[in-house]
This record gives sequence, structure tokens and C-alpha cells, in this order.
Amino acid sequence: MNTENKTLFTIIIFSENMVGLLNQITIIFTRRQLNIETLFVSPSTIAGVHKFTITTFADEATIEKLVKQLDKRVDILKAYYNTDEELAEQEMNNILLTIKPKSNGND
Amino acid sequence: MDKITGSEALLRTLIAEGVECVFGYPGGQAIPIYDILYDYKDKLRHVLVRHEQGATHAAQGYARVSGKVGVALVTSGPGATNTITGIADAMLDSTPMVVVTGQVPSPLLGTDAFQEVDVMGITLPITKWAYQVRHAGDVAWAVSRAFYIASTGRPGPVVIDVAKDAQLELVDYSYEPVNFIRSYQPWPDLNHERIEEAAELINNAERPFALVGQGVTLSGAEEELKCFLDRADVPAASTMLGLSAMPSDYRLNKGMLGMHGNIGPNRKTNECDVLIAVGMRFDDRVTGNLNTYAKQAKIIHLDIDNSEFDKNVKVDVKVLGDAKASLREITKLLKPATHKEWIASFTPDEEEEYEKVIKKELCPGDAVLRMGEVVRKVSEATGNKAVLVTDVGQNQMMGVRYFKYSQTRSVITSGGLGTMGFGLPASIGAKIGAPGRTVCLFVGDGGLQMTLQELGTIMQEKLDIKIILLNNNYLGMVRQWQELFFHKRYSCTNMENPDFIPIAKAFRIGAREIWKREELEHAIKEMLDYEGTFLLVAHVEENGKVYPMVPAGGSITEMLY
Repeated sequence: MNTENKTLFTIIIFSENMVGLLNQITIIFTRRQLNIETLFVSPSTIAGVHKFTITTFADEATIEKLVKQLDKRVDILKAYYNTDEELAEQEMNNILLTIKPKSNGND
Repeated sequence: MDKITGSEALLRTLIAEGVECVFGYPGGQAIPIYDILYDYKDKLRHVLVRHEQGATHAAQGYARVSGKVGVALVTSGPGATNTITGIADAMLDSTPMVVVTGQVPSPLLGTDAFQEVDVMGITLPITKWAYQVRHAGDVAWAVSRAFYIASTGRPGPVVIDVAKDAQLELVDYSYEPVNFIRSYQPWPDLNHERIEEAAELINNAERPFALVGQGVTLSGAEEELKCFLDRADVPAASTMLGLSAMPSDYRLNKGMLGMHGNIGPNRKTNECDVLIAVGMRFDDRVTGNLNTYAKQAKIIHLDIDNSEFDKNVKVDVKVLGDAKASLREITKLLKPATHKEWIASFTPDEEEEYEKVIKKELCPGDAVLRMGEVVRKVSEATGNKAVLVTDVGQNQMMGVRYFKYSQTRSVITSGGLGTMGFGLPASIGAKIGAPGRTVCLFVGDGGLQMTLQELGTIMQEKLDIKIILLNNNYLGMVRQWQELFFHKRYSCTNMENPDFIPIAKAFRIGAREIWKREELEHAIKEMLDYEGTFLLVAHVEENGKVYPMVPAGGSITEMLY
């Protein structure tokens, strides 16, 4: 796939744990001719809720529409997307958050 | 508690969900359900169609005319695959429908068993929800959930695939209606900021114009729409599926949008300053070339489906919510206005269309019958009160253009998918869903022969449907494109047709055929007075064309006529 002028987006999906959900998700990519670069599925921290992490190259307008289509599916609780830069920042914030209380407590 | 089978649980749940009529066709993996149906036939009407595609279209016709969920019941394998066209049609046209398919016993799933097909895999892309039931204990929950999903929010088709062992397994039956799903919000909360922004734009508009889609009908917002339009004095036009949400003679109703819509609404879309789209999805048949579509206007979009915003047309104000609630709230904030001059500016376009298109169709100079005049005469003979059902093609465009509507839910036609063969089975569902209304089906010689076998269903159910076959011995719409855009190379569109009169007679249906204008009025009277289904074959102009026409991909202001 030609990935020129395209950004790598990370799509996060939280869903019910139902048979066929992965299928429901991938057909939405297929219909728009989007290749999935990476896919990671696992139970989330909430019991019964599964988390999908999917990366794909696309432009933002396409991703916006794609995520709305994902979010629309009945058994999907929430779908959203980020760019890599945004995610890096988010991860930094997470680290800061986890460190802060500890140092506060020890002071 | 007595244990019952999964099949009985299915039928009890259907009844509990308010189902009165099921369109279906039995087969190997649905026999247990049909066996129980034998005991329930006084509580649940079963209409035996002649092909499973017909079951889905009949269920669609029933749903569209009544607002209730249409139900189809079929067997596995070919029974299920035959429903695909109807399911896809219902998905694109937001029609509430539940399709129950039989499935091979669960131990055989995935073994290429006799009449096994991956129903879930096939139907997931074209359903709002699909679920496979492998235990009788899941039947009541799954079926109730299916009805909740199919009928709420933006409606759509749901498939429930029931394995044969689940049909036979015994279960303690208990029914609890599903009315909440945590991952699904059918009626989003209104955002009052958006409502205020919309109202402000409309209040300051000089040339506001409203586009009315099927969302108005689906939400039962006909009255709210009228209050809204009246208060701000906004002219409106509808999409094909939105027709009949406003009566044809309503002063602010300016007709139909799109490829074969009226000249005024198409031109005015590109002249208005505020465009208000209500429950419509900017389909390419409505917008034409997006690069030239309503560029001058501020666009307000009211829709219940968040994924419709900015999908085709970038809009300025997105009002997410049910049309009924959104319209009501916006109307509260509207200042009474009049747009006399703007509304009067539609008149020259209307006159031009009458002179150049409508007159030729309704009062042609020569003797050959036109499709439009047949449609208009039938509509008038019913006092413009009938339900219009159409097939797809020229018959459809002529049907929706020249029929008149006086009450809501009066247009049953295949919009998004454009399914030829839809008409005849859909008319069966329409008649059963609205037994007190006259149902008129306009169909072409091509489409009628795609689902002709449903005449058998009509015969068995002793229905009363008025079928008008607009026969030009051509696949007319394709022929029209070939004439206009493919150098008159009429490739594979000429049809050698059977004599339809003996066919009708064979199904014990009244029939008559006409060639001349003088015969028309009398034939229509004979058809409407006839007790039972009647086939009126009107031999119409061979090279008739539907005008105006926006060529595919063209700007909506550049219409051929």
C-alpha cells in the first residue's frame, strides 16, 4: 500500500465480548480499502469489556468517518483515534501521573 | 414451570413483541419452528411467499406502511442467502425488519453440512445487528434484543440465526423485553447549543430551504415538521423516501429533490442561504456533483445517526437527535417570519417544468400512452389517498413524480439499493400492513418478471392489490441511459415479453390491457371497482424518458429536459 501523505493512526475500540465482533470491525476497514497494520485484542480492565488497538495508514477525514462507523455498531461501547504523537504525549502524562503521588507521599 | 422448545420460545417471543404477521418459507432447518407454528396459527399469521427474497420485501412493505417491525422466517443455506437482497435493501433504507433464519445443528457448524452457510459472516456488513442462537435459553433474549435494535434509533434489519438444536432444546421460558443496551444509545440527548445555533441561522436567513428525508416519517415528526416550516415560512422539498411526509398540496411543499426531482428544488438548493436537512443523508442521487452542491449556503443537518454528519457534505451545524424532538426544540426558538418573495421565486421554475416536461407527459399531442399520465390518472381515481408501491426504474421515477400524496407512509419504494423485483412482494406487505387502504403498484415489464412468482402468494392470501404494469418492452431506465449517454447502442435492453393477461388469469387475478388514451379512464375504473387483485397492463411509449434528469456526477442545476 502506498503510505505517502498518510499518517499512522491508532484506533482504540472498547466493545462487548460477542462472537463476530472482530469480523464486524474488520469489514468496516475492508469496505474502505484500509489495511490494518497492527491489531491487538485483549480483555480490558472492566470485566466483560474487550479492547481493540488497531493501527492503520490513512488521512484524517477517512479515519473520522471510519471511527464513526465503528462507534455506530451496537455492541461497540466506544471507538476513538489518535496519531502517534498524541499517544506519545499521553503515555508521558500517564508516567508523570503515576510517579507524582508516590513522591508526594514520601516527602 | 413447563419446559418448552426453543421453537416455541421463538414464537412466544414474537407474539410478545407484538408481531401479528410473519412472511416466510419453510425448509429443512426451520421445520421445528414451522411445526410449532401449526399450533399458533390463530395467534400468528403466516404468509407463505414463493421465494425468500419475496419474504424480505414483503416484510419491508409491511414495515414501511405500518411503522411496525416486519418479520421474515426462512430456513438455512439457500433460504438465508435468498434474503440477502432484502436485508441489504432494508439496511440502506433504514427499514425495521427482523429476519429469522434456521441454521444447521450447532455440532455441525463449520463442517460444510447440508444447507449450511455462514449467515453471520454474510449478513454482518448489511445488518444493524446479527446474532447466532445456539441454546434455547438465548432465544427470548436474542429475539427481544433484535426487535429493540431493529425498531429504535435509526431503524434497520437484524438477523437471528437459530441453530436447529436450539430450536429443539427444552427451556424454562421467561420473557423480559429488552429496552436497554449499555453500548447502544438509540435516542441521543439533544445538545441545546446546537439547537440554538440552528435557530439563529434560520431566524437570520433570507432564503431558507428545507430538505425532508425519511427520518421525518420514521420519527413520526410530520406534525412537528409542518409547525417548523409554517413558523419560519420555509419552503421544502423531499427526497424520494421522504415523499408523503408532507401532503402534495401543502403550500410549502415544492416537490422532490435529486436526479429526477423537480427543477425548482434542485436549482434553489444552490440559491438558498440556509439549507436545513432533516433526516436525510445527502445521497449522491440527491446531491449530484458534491463540488458544486450548495456551496453558497450555511447547512444545518438534523439526524439521529452521528455517522451521517460530514459523510458526504460538510455541514455547519450538526443537530444530533430524533427529528421529532429536534424540530420541536428548534421551532420554539424561531421567530415568525415570511419569505414571500423567496417562495414566489419557485414559481417560474415550476412553470418551466410544467411547460417543458409535465405537459408533454400528461397531455401529449399524439396517441401513444405516456407513463406519467397513467400514474396521474390512477392517483386521481383514488382521490390521491392510495399507497404507492413501485418497482425500480422508469416506473419508479414516473410513479413518485406523478402520484399525489395526502397522508404519510404512502410511498413504498426501494431507494438506496434500487432493487428491481422489489415492487410486487413489497405490495403484498403493504396491503397486509394497511388493509384498509388502496395499494397501487407501478411496475415495469423487467421488474415484474424478477419476482413474478409472488402472484401465487397474492392468490393464496386473496389480497386486493392494484397492479399497473407500465409495459414498454424495454428495460426502460437503462435504455434511457443508452440513448442519452451511450450513442443509442441498445445493448441487451429489449425484452420479448410473454402475454401477461393469461399469466394473471392463471393466478386467478383480474386483468386487462390497454393501448389507447380513450381506454385509460375506463380501465382504471374497472381495476379499482374489481374485488381482488387486478393487473392493468398499459402499453406505453417505447422510448419514453424520465425528465428532468441530472446526469450522474453532474451538478444538480444542470438538468436535462
